[in-house]
Amino acid sequence: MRCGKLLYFDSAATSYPKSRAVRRAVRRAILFEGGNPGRGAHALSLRAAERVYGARCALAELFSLSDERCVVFTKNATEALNLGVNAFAGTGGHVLCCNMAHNALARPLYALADAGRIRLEVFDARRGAEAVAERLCPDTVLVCATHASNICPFIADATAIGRVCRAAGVPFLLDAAQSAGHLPFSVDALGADAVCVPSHKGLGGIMGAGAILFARPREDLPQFLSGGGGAAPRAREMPQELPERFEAGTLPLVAIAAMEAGVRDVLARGAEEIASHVRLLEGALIEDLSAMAGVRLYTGGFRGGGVISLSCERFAPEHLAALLDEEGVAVRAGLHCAPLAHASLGTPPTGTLRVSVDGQTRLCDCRRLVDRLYRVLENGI
Amino acid sequence: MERTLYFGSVSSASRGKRLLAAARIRAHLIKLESDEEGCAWGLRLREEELLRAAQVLRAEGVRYEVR
Repeated sequence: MRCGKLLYFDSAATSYPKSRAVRRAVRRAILFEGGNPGRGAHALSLRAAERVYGARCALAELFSLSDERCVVFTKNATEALNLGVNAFAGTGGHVLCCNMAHNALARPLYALADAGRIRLEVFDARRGAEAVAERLCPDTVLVCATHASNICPFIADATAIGRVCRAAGVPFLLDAAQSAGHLPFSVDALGADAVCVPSHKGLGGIMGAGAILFARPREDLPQFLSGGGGAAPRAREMPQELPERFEAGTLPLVAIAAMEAGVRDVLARGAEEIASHVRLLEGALIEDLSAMAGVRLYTGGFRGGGVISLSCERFAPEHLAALLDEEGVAVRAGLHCAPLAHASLGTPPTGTLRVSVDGQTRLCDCRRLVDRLYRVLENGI
Repeated sequence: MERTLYFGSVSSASRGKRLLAAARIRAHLIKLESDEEGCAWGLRLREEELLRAAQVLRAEGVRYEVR
């Protein structure tokens, strides 16, 4: 039986609820901009095209890109990572990937490695740039890292890794699924060649869109997905120009419109302020949860990412999550699509219970979460 | 009288429109008849603005044609 209002602590899965601006953007896109962008000549299609372009500009502004054509839309961060991995490493070579990688980054690399197309090596994210520098080889074609973990508060020193990669002339691909909208960063300042983001987490949009942000226009990279587009239909290949080169098929207009609204929310509030808020909440939760008997936290000693994993002696993570659901608390249990990260943290084989916060989470709700957890541990069956 | 600038993609045309708007040049995004190359996108603007528009677009590296 639910008690009181929902306490949402699963922002690492998706942000909830969506802001009024995002809801308005969705409604406006469906009602007034619902043509297929980049296809027809009628007002609806043209309006849709301009909405998509506005979203590109918003993302370019948030991540300090000088050219909004470097914003390539995908249907999610996973597709963006697949595009990045295949674009930079599809022709083969040695690839480095950190041990905090989510399956969205790890699996496309495994696929290339299992097909014999790349030699994949995993490095310790804790050691970051030092570990990368030690492992670079003459045939290293790509370094991949997760900016913020989806299971613990870890934040990579991406700037240091980017510096090493830039000095070595090796492309650097960053998975920013958990950091976009939570941490302030600029693609160029990180030294990344490409950064992948989803619309629906820290950027506050809805599911269905993501983006790969290139540091500079990359018309030299091979096409990934092929299909229809709004330019040069007679050509057998995708257009040369960005962003159309990497955008095949109909774009998810409504999700992109929502993404723009979410990005504008982040710009208005300031990513630095959001990061500060997340650190505050994380600190409060770690302090309170650490004091609970029979509960073990898995933070790895990291701070700042707003994600905390825990286990308890009395219940398996899924059981605990179910009991918390009955108490009106939304959390996620298991391996969180990140077995590599779980292994590096030394969590139990069945994974952990994950509590995640974002800019919308309130401090009072963190205290309520702890109260309900106490209740479950005392009374749950 | 109006003139049309031709672009290779809707993104280029949209970018052009934004750049021109920032320079206080009003332009309308339109889709043109397909030619040998395929789809064409354009910005329609007043003839007296054409020269200034061309300068703005060239300065930003936006590829276009005037036909």
